[in-house]
Amino acid sequence: MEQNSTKILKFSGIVFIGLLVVSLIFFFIPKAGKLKGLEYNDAVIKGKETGKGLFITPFSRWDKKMKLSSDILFTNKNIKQLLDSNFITVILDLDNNKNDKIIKDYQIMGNFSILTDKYGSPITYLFNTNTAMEFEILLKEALKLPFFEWNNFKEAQSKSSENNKPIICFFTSYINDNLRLAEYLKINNNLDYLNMNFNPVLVYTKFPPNYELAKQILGFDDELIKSVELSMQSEKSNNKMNFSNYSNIKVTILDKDAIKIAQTQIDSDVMNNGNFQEFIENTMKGERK
Amino acid sequence: MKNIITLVKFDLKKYWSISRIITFMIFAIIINFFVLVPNYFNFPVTEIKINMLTIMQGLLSFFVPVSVLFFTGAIIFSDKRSFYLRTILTRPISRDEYLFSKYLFSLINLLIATLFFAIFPTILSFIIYNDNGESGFFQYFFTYLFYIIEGLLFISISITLSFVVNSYLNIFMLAIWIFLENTLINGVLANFVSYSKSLAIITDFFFPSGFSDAAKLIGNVGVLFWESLLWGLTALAFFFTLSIYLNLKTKIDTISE
Repeated sequence: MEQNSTKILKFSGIVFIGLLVVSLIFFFIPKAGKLKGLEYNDAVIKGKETGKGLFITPFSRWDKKMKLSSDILFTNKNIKQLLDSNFITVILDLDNNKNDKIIKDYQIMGNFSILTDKYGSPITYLFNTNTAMEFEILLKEALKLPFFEWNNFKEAQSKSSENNKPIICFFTSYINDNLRLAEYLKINNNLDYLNMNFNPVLVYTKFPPNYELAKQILGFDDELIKSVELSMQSEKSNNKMNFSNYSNIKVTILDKDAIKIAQTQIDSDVMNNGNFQEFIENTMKGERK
Repeated sequence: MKNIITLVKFDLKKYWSISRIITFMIFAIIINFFVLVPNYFNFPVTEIKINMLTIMQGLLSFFVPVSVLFFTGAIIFSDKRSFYLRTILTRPISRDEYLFSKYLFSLINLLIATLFFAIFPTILSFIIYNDNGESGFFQYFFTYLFYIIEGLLFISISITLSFVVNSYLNIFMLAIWIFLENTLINGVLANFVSYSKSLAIITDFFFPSGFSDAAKLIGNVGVLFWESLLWGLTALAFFFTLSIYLNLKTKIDTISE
């Protein structure tokens, strides 16, 4: 009888060790549902080649909530299909030091994914909720944003010399400004007018790669740009990817040789008026500065 | 197996005295009556549809640990103190049979308790209120199954504790354990995990919460989270092994009070 007890003890001990090993394997394998991600740099190259934006989602072994939401969202067939067909996925391992720069650039502090254009510049963000349906609805809405189609300044310049349309740059400083701009362009056929007459470029000034460009194109010492520069220099500041604030959207119109034609900003009055064509025509006439 | 069933029968007869059955039934009627209270005040109004699985989850998450606390607290210690353990083990019954009979006895009690305190109120809710139909049968089934296995885990923890500590300390430790899991670890600490790796280690490696995590997830979104389930099974295997070891080493004539 004593021997039988020892046998059971040995058996259950082996089962425990086996389960512990399997659990640890599951624990240490970084995976975000069924998504297959590329390294950030490879994804940017592939994004430019394919014209697809980037979907940057964080993953940490040490965050149970992050693991749960990844497992819920990225095992969902509809979400996976939407992401695979529209984006190049980057699963950002938050525990790996080599990703520190990307984490700092995109200010990934919590459980949210970032959608960027094909050049890696952030367009919007989605919270990784625990409800697949909610995430799917928000993702479909995000896909309707026009900025994924737009070129960066360099490519817009070469396109401008082909089609003789001027370049129009929108400078946003908070990620919510992108969404406000999209809402503004959605009404009164503003987007059609824009596409017909201009080569549009979105410059997200708080994202380091576009900051210098913003300064160069804007061509003046803007208060906002100064504050961005200060916030970037400050180690303590973590407001580069501020999700709650918004400010005026600056607009610069340039010809194909990148010579400034007009400069203005979209404030709340312009937003409320809603007529983009009138606003631009007035600006071009020099009525608005 | 025959010995185990005989022991369980004996335990059940010994435990379920008439006074206990009456007390239990009064509590069961009160709990089931509480389901009727919102209907009496016409709240929620009849057009509103409710997810019945949420009701079942709420009841199970409370009554599973509480039932274990009541039925399994100090289960081995009380046998030692009353010399029942010595009486049993001096007969042709092995220590394993004795231990497994305790597991089976506790599991049967847990099933009875969840039937009266969780399943019946859920069925009653189905009859009285409108179900929103969002959850399928498998979600109900797996949610119940995972909570029962979580109960089994609590039983193994309770049995392990009752080998080494006295009755009051056993119940106190088990209550603290349940409080830790439900409130502190998964409630308070889990909210700060994104900012601190050390807190994340505590919440992630508090592996006994695996089954309840898996139950919540399959209930809320219909997804089976393997990692949680594996941690739960690991914890179950660990405490089960520990209880077998302590059962093997325990001295039948010693009372450590």
